[in-house]
Formats: sequence, C-alpha cells, structure tokens
Amino acid sequence: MNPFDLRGPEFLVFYFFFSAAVIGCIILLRRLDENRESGKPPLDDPYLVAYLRGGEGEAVRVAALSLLDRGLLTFKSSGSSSLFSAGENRLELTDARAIETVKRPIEKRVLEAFKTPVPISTTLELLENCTPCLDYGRNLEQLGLLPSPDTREKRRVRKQIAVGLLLGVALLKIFIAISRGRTNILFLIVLAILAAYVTSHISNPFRTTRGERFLEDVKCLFASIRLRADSLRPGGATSDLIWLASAYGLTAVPEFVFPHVSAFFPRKPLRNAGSTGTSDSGGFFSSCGTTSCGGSGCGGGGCGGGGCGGCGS
Amino acid sequence: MSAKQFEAFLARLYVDADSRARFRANPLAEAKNAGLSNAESKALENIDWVGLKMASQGFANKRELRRPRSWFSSLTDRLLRLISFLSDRVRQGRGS
Amino acid sequence: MAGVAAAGAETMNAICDTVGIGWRPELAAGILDHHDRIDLVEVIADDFFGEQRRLRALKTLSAQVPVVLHGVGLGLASASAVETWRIERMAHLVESISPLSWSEHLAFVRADGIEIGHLAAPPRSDATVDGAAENLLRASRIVGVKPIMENIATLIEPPGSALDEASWISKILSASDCDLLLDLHNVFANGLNHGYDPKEFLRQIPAGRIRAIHIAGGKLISAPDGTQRVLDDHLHDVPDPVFDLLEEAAALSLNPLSVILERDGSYPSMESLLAEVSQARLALARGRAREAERIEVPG
Repeated sequence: MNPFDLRGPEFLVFYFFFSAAVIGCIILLRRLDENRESGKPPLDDPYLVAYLRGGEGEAVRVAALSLLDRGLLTFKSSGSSSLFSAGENRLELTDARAIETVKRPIEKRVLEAFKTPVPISTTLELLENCTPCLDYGRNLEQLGLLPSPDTREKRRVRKQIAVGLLLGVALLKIFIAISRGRTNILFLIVLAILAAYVTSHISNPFRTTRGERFLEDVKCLFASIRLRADSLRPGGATSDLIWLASAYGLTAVPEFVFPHVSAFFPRKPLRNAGSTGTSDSGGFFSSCGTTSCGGSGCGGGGCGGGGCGGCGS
Repeated sequence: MSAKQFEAFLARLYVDADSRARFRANPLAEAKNAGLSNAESKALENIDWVGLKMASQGFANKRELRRPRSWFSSLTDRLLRLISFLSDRVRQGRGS
Repeated sequence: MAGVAAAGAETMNAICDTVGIGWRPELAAGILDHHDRIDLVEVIADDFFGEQRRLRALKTLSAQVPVVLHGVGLGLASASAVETWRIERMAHLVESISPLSWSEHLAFVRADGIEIGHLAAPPRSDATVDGAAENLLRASRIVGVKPIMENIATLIEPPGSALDEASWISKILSASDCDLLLDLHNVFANGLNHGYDPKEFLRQIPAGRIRAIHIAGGKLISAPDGTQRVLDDHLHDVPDPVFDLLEEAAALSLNPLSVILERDGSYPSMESLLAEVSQARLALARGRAREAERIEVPG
C-alpha cells in the first residue's frame, strides 16, 4: 500500500506515527552514541555540576553565591526592591587576601571581578567566557557529559536527515494532493512544521545522554538537601546551600533562607538545559522511593535512607 | 521445628501487645499453647520483662518509621512538590 | 606518646587500616567535600533494592569513593531459612556495585510471617548456630562473596539462650567461615546492659575473624524498673570507652581493619564527624603500636 495514496485524515495519522518513529530513532541513536564510558565524572566540584546543568552562567552565579555565603563577597543593595532592579545590586570583595586563599580558579576569577563594587548581573554575564568556565566546558566534553565538536557534528547530520525526511514526505504529499486537486493541506503543513521543530529541538540538547544521567544521579544523591531546603542555614558552615544551587538551580534556594538569591537570577534565558531547565525542582513527577531503615518520613530523602538506626531505638 | 516455633513466639511477643499481656499473666500456659517444649516454656518463665517491654517499644518505633505511606499522603506530597515547582518557575520569571 | 603513635602509625600503614563514615543523604555534601579525609563509605543496602534510579546514583558515588554495602533486612541468624529471593536481591546489588565487601547482622527480623521491624537477638542456642551457619553458607553461595557479620545490641537478654554471646558468635563464624563486623558500641551497650566486661568479650571472640568495625554513640534511657540501660541509637557522639575498645581491637587483630563511623541523625558539623574519624585513626594507631611492642617483646 502506498501511503501517499491515503486520504487526508488517514495520511495525517500516518504522518503522525511516521514523525514519532523518526523522533524515536533520533533519540535512540543519540542515546547509543552518547552513552559511552569516558572517565569518571568527579563528584567534588559543585561548580562543575552547575555548569553541566545550566552552562557558564550557572557556574559563575553559583560561585558568586558561594562566595557571598562564605562572607568573601559583600552584598550592596541598590536601595530599591531587588525584584525590579536586580541588575543594580552590587557585590564587593570583602577582603582582598581571599583571592589568594580560595581553592578554585572560578572563585578567584569571580573575586577579582568584584574588587570594586559593580553590578551583579552585568558582571556575571561578562564572566561567562572566563578561562575557568572554558576549562569546565572542555572538561565536561572530555568526560562525555557535554557534546564534543564530533558529537555536535553527528547530531547536526542526524537532524538534517530527519528534518529532511519529515519535510520531504510532507512536501511530496502536498504536491500529490495539489496535483489531484485537493487543497486541504493546512493540517499537514502545521503537523510537518511541528514535527520538524520538535526534531530540531531534541536533536541537540545541551547535555549528552551520559551527562543527563550523571546530572540525575547527582540530583538523586542530593535530593535530601532539596527536601530540607527550608531548614538550611546560610553562613558557609556547610556546603549544602551551594550543592542545592548547583544541582537544582538558584531558584531552589528559598529566599527567606538566603534573601539576596534573586539578585543572582539571570536576566536573559540561559543555555538550553534540556528538560531540567535552568532551575529545577528535582522533578516533581519523580518518585522519592521508599526507605527501609528509618529515615525521613518523605520516603528516603533521595539516595540512601536514614541509616541503620542502631539496635533497639 | 521447636527452635523455629520459639522464634515465632518471640516475634509475636515483640510485636503484639495482647500476646505480651496474656504471656505476662500466665507465661507457662501461653508458651505451651504455642507448642513450645517444656524446656523452652520454662526458659521463658525467667524472661527479662523489663528488656522485653523496652525492646518491643523500640521495634514498634521502627515499624512505624517504615510504614508505607498511604496513597493520599503520597498524592499530597506530589501536589506540594508541583506547587513548589511552579513557584520556582514564577520566581525565575520575576528574577529575569 | 608521640613515639608510640609514630610506631603505631608505621605499623598501621603496613597493615592498611581504613576509616570511613556511613553514607547518609544529610551528610552527602560534607562527605563529598571531604572525601580526601574519608577512606570509604558504608551504604545501607536495603535502601537500594528495586530502586533503579538510586542504584545508578550509587554506582556514580562508588566511582568517586569506595563503598561497602550493609544490609539490615535479611535476618540471617535464624533457625528458619531466609527466603532465596531476599538473598538474590542482595546478590543483584552486590553484582551491580562491586563493593569492597557486604555485611549483615547476626539477628533475626521476622518469623512465621511476623515482621519484627528491626534487628532482634535470637536465642543463643545450637539450633540458631546451625540455622545461621546454613543461611550464611547459602548466602555466600548465592551472592558469590561471603558476608561480614555484625554483632547486635539488644535491650533484652535473649530468652532460651544456652550460650553466652561470645561463644555463640564464635561458633557461627567457625561453622560458616565468615568474618566479623565488630560493632564496638553494641559490645559496650550489651556489656553495660547485661553485666559483662567489654574488653573480656573482645578477648573471647576470634580476633583473626575481625575484618570491620563499627563505632557509634548512644544514650542512657530509663527502664520501667527504675534502672537505666544503654540505647544504641546512633544519634550521639562516640563515647571514649568505644575508642578504648577500638584501640583494644586493633591491638588484638592482625588483619587490616575497616572502621565505619555510624551516625543516623542529630547530625553535628562535618568537622565534628571528621574529628571522630581522626580519633578513630589515632585509636587504631595506638592499638597497632601496642601490638607491635608485644610482637617485638614476646612474653
């Protein structure tokens, strides 16, 4: 049976399933290609995780938040509501000696940028192309968590073939329909554009398949922090706040815990971070799972429950 | 067989307050009714009553912690997380 | 003292003891931030049964820091046979994660369909020795690796016991050829609650079988008869007597020891926990030094 001989509504159904199959193939090929082991991603750098989640912008913002939390940067309010003038709030280096004592290059770079009080948002935007950020990007590519140039090229070729196939089939049907005197082609045009758009969108996500899975694992390991975000305390005594921001986004940090966090929200949309977006509540559709040994009442609080619980308590 | 029955009897004492009360009232009779041997029944007469009460309470606390959540509380939890997710999105929109 | 510690440190280095901490979600950030000061983490196996997403996250964690698995739900020290599907579940986890070791408890947790809810001390009798040995041999076969078995604390002296705790444990380990995870706070608690000397207990168990050690803290609770008993709740700092017992165990054992600090709640700062990890290292060093002196000066 020749699908191009199908009548309008029937062909639309065929085209719908055809598009789904093409999109499914794209996803499957991407998963097969991008899930190869290439090194062990480190779990000790929250800024690397922030970069993986939302790009350079997230990495510098989380670094700045961490430095503010630890008292190495001081917040200088513009005086007006931070909701309407987020770009005019400023940060200033508290003590110049901190530049030499901080461990991570990105923290050094951020501290250097705020040697004098400067607006937060514009300064952080300028920092997005700093060397430490570029290093994070390269590192993540080498680990297979972000697409390398080779991977991006393969994605581009797959996308072109898929979009070409989708539009080609649609155009051919449109041509046949018109040649047979049929003009009810609007739905097919809409469906074709939609299919091409979706294919284009899912062909080139920010992270690789391996990167998506690693980020999910990090979120699972830190899900407990997400659940008890309201009880976290600023002040740098623990790194819970920073891991929360790294794994789940700045908007996961409650404002009443950290009042200045909204000053760090980006003014423009960050990179396409896939389904998790730049701020992520941890996937409210995901299951917490259960704990079989004590633990929080929510059902485990993420990866690992409340421990052995002792004998007899 | 008797050793398994003994463990089962102990388990019942640990988890069931009524069984504990009946046993406290008449240890020998309860043990024999459970099919334990004379020696086992006699051994239970000298049971550490204080320890039994404390251990039972501890086990009850642990069982309560592990109780599966009802579908209602799971649904409530998911709704709360949905609200949290949406409010995060709104906050992000305001911050941009 | 410094010289003793130095000699002990040298011996300890040669023996390669490790000290770690129990993985808890609340401690995740602190553990990963300080993984250079922690040799390994212990993960509760039961939290990962049937949870694919968590299992994958655990694999990611195990690539960062060495992991040992610790089960709480098998109930291997029972006269009844443990269901095969429970052991197979553990086997699947062990196969997926390839931990350094896996461990369980010398306890029963269910009988005749009744779930007790936690670790209960079975009667210390030949029947439970035989039952435990059979369960352990079967578990070793199914999982492919022998478990390390932990002594438990108990608020009740198990009725129907013909053997003392040390003899019972020794018999099970000998019959099953398994090694011991010596929980020192459990020894401390049982010693106080049931009237025996913890150090004497250490001398009665086969030192050559000690492979791993747990340290933890508990508290005194009031009993209905007005007395007090020690509750092993893992919610308090490790008391000094437990560190003393650690030193004793290190002096008695020639094996490399993995020590895990267990804390299940009321978490102090990460620095406090790491200070306890350091204290454990020092206690091990002191014990090893005493062992070294004893070997050099026999009799």
